[in-house]
Amino acid sequence: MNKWLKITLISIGSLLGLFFVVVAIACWLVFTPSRLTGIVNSLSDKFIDSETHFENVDFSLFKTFPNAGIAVSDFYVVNPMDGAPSDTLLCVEQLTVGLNVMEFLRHGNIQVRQLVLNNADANIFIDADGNNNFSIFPSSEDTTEGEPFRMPEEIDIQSITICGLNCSYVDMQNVIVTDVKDLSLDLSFSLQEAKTGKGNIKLNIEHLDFCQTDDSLQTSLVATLDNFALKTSGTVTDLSLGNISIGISADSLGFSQLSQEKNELISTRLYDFNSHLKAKGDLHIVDGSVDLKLPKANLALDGSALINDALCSSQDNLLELSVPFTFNLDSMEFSTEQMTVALDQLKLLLKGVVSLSRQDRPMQMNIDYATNAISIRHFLPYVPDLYSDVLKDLSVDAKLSLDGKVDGYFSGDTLPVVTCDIMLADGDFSYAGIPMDLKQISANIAARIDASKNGLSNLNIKKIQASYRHNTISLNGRVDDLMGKMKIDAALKGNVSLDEIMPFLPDSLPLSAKGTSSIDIKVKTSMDQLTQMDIKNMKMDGGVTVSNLEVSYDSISIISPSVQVSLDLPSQHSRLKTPELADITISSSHLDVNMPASQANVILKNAYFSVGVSDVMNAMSPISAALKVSVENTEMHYDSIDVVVEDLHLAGNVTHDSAQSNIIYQWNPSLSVAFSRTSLFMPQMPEALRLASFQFDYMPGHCEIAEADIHWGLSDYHLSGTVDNLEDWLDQTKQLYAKVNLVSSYTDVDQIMDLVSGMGSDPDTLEAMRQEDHVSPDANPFIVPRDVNIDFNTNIKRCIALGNDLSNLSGSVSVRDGKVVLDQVGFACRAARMQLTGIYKSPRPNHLYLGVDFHLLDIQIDELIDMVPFVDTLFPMLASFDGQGDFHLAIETYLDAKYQPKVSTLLGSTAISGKDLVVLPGETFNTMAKYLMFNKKTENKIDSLDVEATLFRDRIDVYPFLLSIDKYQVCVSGIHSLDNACNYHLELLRSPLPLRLAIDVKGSLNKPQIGLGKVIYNDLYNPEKTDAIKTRTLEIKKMVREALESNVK
Amino acid sequence: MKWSPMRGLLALFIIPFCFVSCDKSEVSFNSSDLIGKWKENGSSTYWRYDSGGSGLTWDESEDVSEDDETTMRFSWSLSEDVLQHVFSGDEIHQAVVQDYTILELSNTSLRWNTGLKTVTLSKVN
Repeated sequence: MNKWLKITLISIGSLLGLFFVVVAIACWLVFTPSRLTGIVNSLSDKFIDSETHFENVDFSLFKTFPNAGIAVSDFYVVNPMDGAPSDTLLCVEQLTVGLNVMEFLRHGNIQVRQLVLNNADANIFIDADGNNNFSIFPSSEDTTEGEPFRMPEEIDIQSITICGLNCSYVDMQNVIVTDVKDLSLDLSFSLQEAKTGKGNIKLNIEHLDFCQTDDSLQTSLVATLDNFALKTSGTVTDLSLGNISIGISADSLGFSQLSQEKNELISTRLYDFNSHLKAKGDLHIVDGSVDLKLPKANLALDGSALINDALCSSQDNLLELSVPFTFNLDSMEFSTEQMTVALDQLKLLLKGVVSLSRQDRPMQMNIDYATNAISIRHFLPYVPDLYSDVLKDLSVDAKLSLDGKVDGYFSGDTLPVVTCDIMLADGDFSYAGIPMDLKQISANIAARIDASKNGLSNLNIKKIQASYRHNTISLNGRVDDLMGKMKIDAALKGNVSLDEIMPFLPDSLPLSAKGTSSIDIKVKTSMDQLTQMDIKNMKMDGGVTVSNLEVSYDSISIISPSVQVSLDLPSQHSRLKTPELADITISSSHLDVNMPASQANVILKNAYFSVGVSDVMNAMSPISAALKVSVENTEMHYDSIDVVVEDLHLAGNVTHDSAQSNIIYQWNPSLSVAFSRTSLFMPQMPEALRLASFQFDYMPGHCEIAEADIHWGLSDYHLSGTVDNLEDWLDQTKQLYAKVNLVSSYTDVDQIMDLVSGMGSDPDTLEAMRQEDHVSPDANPFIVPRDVNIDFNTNIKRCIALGNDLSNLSGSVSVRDGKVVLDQVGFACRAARMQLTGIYKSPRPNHLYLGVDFHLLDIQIDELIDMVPFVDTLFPMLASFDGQGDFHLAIETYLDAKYQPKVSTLLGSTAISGKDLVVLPGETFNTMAKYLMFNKKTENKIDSLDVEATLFRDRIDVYPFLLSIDKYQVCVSGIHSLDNACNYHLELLRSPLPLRLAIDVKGSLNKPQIGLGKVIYNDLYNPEKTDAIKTRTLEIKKMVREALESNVK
Repeated sequence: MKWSPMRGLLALFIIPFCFVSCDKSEVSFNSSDLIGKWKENGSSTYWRYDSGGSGLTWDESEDVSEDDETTMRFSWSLSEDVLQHVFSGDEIHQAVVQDYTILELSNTSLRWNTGLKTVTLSKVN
């Protein structure tokens, strides 16, 4: 440096020094603190409406060099308002402002380049009417509009420093209370030509409280912040960003929602929160990254912690977030290639683009996301304590991973669509309360969530599968309208061993089952239908096939190689008056049902059961069901009874009536039943009962037999008719009524009597009656069914009854409450026509009533005696005749258990008529002919014979009758007994002889003593001469005959 | 024996006498003596005659008792020495008349002839 230059510089420096000394002296002399303080206080009174005070105002050139500084200390503004927590609006200990002197001197602009605020208190208050305490400046009278704000091209803030700022903000209008303690700010920012600049911001808040109350919800939102720090720095060069850095940290950041009673509904607190953003780029593209670390946090719901200590202490950081990004300022698109969110071992990777909203488009998002495969077991300890009890006995694990996409717009009610593939693998599940350890749980579910208005969300369950020992079960299907009605369309398939689901049933249930079930069920329903049990509108079809079934319930066991159970909901049939809710069918090729306790066994082959039920959920409608049963072959064994039924078909319906007490009337069945080729084997039946076909319609109280084709031994029965009160009769409350048409080509009556004997009576009661009545064991009397009223309209070609062979039997046979009545049954026997009215009653086993009104017309006398040997007892003399006649018998007696008559109860009457009879030669006839002096040439032919007799106990009274033989007419009458004692009188009324002879036959019929007797019937048939006794005799004789013959049809 | 005219004349004389007999004597009994229960001697057959003309009969050896609903019922009438019983069947309703000739009737004993035999009865109450 040369000498002149040095001299020049020293001179200039000296001049500048002198200048600053002069200015300083001038400032110190002119802008004295007291003078400035006075000026400021007077101006504040003029321009500020509230009370203000400036303790000291100083001007300095050195403290803020190179800027001119104005320092204010200890100033305050007081603006009291009702309700305000303090009347002081602002109280500042120290405020220094640095101004650009050169800008002021050159252009007259006041340019603030420095601001330092130390230890200030602010109290901002807004009352409920919107009045505030910070509107302290008088309103301007200048009504002209100012120029709109325009960002200046040049900004140069060298330093804004705030230290120790405490601020209170109370907004009664919006019910907001905010309190900030010890806020410090250090800010510098400069901008040149609106494209180049740099800046730094450091903000620290020691403590912040925020509270806003929502009166309508009666809740409060509370936020607190401790040791919050914000640090930003960056540069802009020719509109290019250079290393923009934003760091945010806080010791504690909390939010909570309080109830009216100040209870925490939701609360969360983040500890040692630390985030950092770095970015660089230009006005078009900004690349950067955001990193966030959250070591610890609390989250509570209704006071229950959702983040437990285990989760907080699981890793260094509870949550880590790393977002490398590119932000295109032109297209306003934010994109990331690998955003990571880490929560313990859960890693969430995201990549995609978020397009911010512009005038020409709404905000758009297109992000792919995926998680790593995590172990659910690892996360179980992190389950909140609130649910820890559930996990106490739970063991669960699986590898879970999510993979999906968020794609769509944010526009009004439109939100992006979220899709998610949920993959679950290698899962297992066990719970102490469930005796089943599920293994190999896997799932593949695709979810689509569209939260937009009218958006459709759904789940596509590709497969959910689990195994338990040898059992597997899988589910697939769809859930549409996931956010709304949740329409479910699912298919459940599986193979389940019945014995392995038995542990699920209560121990008290006496049920055990073995077999393998194959399940295949499809369901279409909605969540509303499930929650409301609206089965009526669900759709379900499918079934279960059980192989090698072995079920035992109590003492009943069922064995089948295969049983198919299917369900059809709603039913496709309309067999009921009301819509059918469901159709359940059960079919099996072979069902073996055993009831050892009852010694019963039923085997069904090719069985099919169909039940269509009504809407059982509708309490207003009675439960009804349509039934359809078909069984190709049924074999039943009960006790010692065997039944084989083929082609059983049953169809009909039942309707439940809970008001009824009888189970039949409770279900009110209306059934049509048909079966064929049925065999019934019973020990008391020597031969099997076979039903070629049987069809009947049944409803409570009434059974209509359309056709019954029955074969029993040689007998055959074709039945039709009605049966009433069957169930009440079984219930022993009413009598059974039946009207049956019976057509038979051959009927064994004895066989039927053996079968129905005692029907309707309790076997024990019958046995007690037998013992009480001293019935010998070898006796088996027919006991007429009790409480039974059956009318048989018979048409039988051939019949065996009590050893008699009858034919063309027709008439009415009735069973009336312990009484059997054959009402004028007509039939033919050998060469005779017969008519029988018979009554049989069994009041006691050893005291049986038999009443018979019996007519044999046009019968050979020898046939008659052969057919009814009792006739020979009644009329011993009849054996002496040959020819054809009519026989009438009305008799009643009581029988013992072996059907032997009780003679003391015998009571009857009988009549025989004959014409052109021949008297057979014999010793007795010859003797009597000798006594009556018959001519040896007398022809032994009788023109007519009319005999009437009565029977009382062992005595037979034969009323007087006439025998006309050749030229002789003999009147015969007498008495004989069953032990052959006799007292007969024969009197010759007409003869060639002029004599009236009579003989008496006495003693034993086998060896009668015949002698001449007294003539007593000389005027018997002469009304004019007969006496009263003889008239009475004739009246009785006439009465007996007329009574007997009147019953002949 | 050889038939001779004398023997014939004798027969013509004798035979008409064979058919000549005395008229039956008219005997009557008091029906009030009949009222009560009678038991046939040597048997277990009972007869009960009630006032009003009704009665019962049963044989205990055949497991029928007085109180049995199936006991045989009859109506009776006494005319001179003829005791008439009219029976009617329970179900068939056939009428049977039994006339017995009273031989003896007192308050304690009764004897009748049935035409086949004579029966003695004793009153049992």
